[in-house]
Amino acid sequence: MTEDSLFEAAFRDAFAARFAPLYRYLNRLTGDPELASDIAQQAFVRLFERGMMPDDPRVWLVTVAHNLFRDERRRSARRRRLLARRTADTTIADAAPAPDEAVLTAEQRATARAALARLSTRERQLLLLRYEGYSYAELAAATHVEPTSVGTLLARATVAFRRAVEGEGHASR
Amino acid sequence: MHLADADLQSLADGESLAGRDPVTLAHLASCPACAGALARALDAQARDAELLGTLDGPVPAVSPDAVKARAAHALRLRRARRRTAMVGAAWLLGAAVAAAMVASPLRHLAIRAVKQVAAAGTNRKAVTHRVPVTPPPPEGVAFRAGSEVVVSLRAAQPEGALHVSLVPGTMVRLTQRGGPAAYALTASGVVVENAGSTASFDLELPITVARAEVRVAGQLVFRKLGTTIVPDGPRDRDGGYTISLASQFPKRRRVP
Repeated sequence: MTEDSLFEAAFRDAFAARFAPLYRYLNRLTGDPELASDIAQQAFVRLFERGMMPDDPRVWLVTVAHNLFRDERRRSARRRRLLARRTADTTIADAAPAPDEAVLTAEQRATARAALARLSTRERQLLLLRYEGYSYAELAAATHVEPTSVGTLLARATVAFRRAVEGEGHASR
Repeated sequence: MHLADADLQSLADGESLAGRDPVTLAHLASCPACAGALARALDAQARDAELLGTLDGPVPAVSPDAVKARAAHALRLRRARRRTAMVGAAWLLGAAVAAAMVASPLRHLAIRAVKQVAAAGTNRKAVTHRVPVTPPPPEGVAFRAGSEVVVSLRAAQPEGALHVSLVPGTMVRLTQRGGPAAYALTASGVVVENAGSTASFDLELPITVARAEVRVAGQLVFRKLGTTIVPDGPRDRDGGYTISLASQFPKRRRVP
């Protein structure tokens, strides 16, 4: 097997294993499914252009995605506003739920989106990556923070998110 | 001493506490408050995970081949941009080299274009800035001098001057500035109708003319006989003579 074909196989494996989680994370982070899809694809384009697999593809991909997202936010102020304005109607469920369930899900989605919008970008990244199963070491590498600070920052982000959720819950009642 | 929030967070996240695990776990086992806090944190984590799960939608159907095609397209774009930049740079370099060659027609064209641009710039400047302040072209007469030249200004003027200069050649030139005047050529010279004018005059007399006279209101103000000049006063910087026409103008007498 040549190096190219080895890389090709590794790339396909990485895509199969990582595209969906990366998209899900970016969708939660940005609140914009189209943007999330575009950034996730672009991150894999960069990986393919690299021609060799990084040591930790999961961290590498999410770091590239963060950079792309940052560039995108700089380019477009309109997209920055999407995170705050985008509400429940941006995502589509697989199957049509019952009316009560649909209303409840839409409320929860709006609450989650609004609570995330209250966090800083780094807090959002830490929190959402943690729920994607990233270890503290991976979180430190992907968000450029000291490994020893991850626990503290994550605890603050968690508290801030819960307070925001509770605040949103009171506000929506 | 209870556990810090960061430690509780690490425990809830299943992270190691960097060598403090036995102590921490021992504390948890003996401290109902910290154990309760950890249980609440785990419970909240589950709720948060469920809440965040509501944000998820269907994953777009993208294949690795589509990503590879996108990468190939991006590569083509980059190559095209690089090629365009290189062609542009080569063209500029070639043009610069050709323009630097002395015998190059491109150099000739470039010089001509630069001159045209410079001339256009000068013209524009003249149109925009100089036209309003440019004096009207001088008016006057010119004739070939005979052996004798007589220039006669009919009237004295309230102001103005006559500048006489001796020049090589055989032509007499009389021009005026700043006021009206009419000229009538005679057999030996010219008569100037300048009554009421405030013009100044420039008179060029051939240095070789044997005899020349200038009169203002009939009064002789300048004479050249051979090489003798009257008045033989101080000359101007350019070697000519300036005669005030106002000094010939009659002064009003004061009424006592």
